[in-house]
Amino acid sequence: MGSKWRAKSPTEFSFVGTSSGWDRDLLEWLCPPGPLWLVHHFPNLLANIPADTMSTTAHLSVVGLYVPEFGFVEVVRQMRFPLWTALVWIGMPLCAAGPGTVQQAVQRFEAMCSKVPAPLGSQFRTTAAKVLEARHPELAQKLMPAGPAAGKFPPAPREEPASHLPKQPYISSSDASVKPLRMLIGLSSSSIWRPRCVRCLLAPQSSTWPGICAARFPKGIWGRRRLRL
Amino acid sequence: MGPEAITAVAETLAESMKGAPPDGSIYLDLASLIHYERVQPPRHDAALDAAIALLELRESLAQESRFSLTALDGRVYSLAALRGKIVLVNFWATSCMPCRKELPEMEKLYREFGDKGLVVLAISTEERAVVAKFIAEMGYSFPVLLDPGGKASADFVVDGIPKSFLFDRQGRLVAEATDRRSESQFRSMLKAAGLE
Repeated sequence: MGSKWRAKSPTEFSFVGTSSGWDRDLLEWLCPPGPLWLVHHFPNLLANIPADTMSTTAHLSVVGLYVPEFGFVEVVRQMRFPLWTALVWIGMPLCAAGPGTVQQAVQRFEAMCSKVPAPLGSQFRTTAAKVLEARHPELAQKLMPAGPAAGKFPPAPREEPASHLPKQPYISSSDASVKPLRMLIGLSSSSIWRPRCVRCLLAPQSSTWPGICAARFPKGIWGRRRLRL
Repeated sequence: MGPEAITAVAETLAESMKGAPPDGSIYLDLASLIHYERVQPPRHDAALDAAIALLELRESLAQESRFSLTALDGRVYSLAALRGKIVLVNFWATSCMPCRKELPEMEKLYREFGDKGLVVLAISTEERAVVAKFIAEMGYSFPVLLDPGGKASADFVVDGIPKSFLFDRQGRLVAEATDRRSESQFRSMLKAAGLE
């Protein structure tokens, strides 16, 4: 079966369809990680060329390196197999050496986050900054939202000042979901859902936003969990 | 929980988000279900995409982890040294019941696929004596690493156990499990790394 490259963006390619052979493995190995990506500007490179003829007759339309700071740097056009192989072997250590994976993930996250309005976007950025803080403080600093509320999460609805609350018992949507959550805990002894259940149930006693509370639970009940997101 | 129950949870969660104050943690929970449990997104939402991107950011941190830990038998293991192998990194504790339940599945798969390049690294932050006693009683043969300072846990942003990460032969993170996996779920993960 043939295969096709589909360019999502100038820096990102995805592999559509199936194929076999060294070429696909090599390209997949090269393209996802690293600060320098080997880029093909050839829309149906592998679809048109059977894998078994790749070694002798294949031409690559344009091959270059993508450098985040400089953009796409064209290296060569109309290249035959030996040069292609050489370039791959040059590219491999370059890709493997760089710190790019986390940086790329941050770039992607920032792009996604820019479409999210406040306060959600700010919450995501703060969470990401906390995740990055230990190993990439410079990236964490960059992500931390600016302004007086930087690094702070909005309080849970139940913590609003009493004067803002209606006279009748206030039940928010998230409060309303606590009851089924409580029931789910019994069913979800090994589920990803468990931290959320526990967190929701903890929230009335928590003085911080539930998403950043950290707690250790008794051994043997939930497993030993340290909740933090 | 089975797939139907997980889907129901995701739908309930998505429903609870309607009209509720914006809460990033709920989006992250839903994103986890979509990303790791293969639940269909209940709707298209930019915030959900951002939450998934945040999960991928955490994965990228795990990907670059350069831990080097000592096993119970005294051998030192690192991801870099295991390039060429398929590596299942599992965070666990003797006091964690779900962890204890999945260890036999891991042992079975380790015995089955060990010859084909599967390496299982079970990492615990507990004291050596506690871990050693438990492993000796249970007779597991995969390497059990000690992470007393929790450095590897921090590298992998482990916020709960059990948690598993699978790296393929090129050292790429190809699958992640945010909670206990059954044998069939582990097999699905291994398939992503080319083992079946």
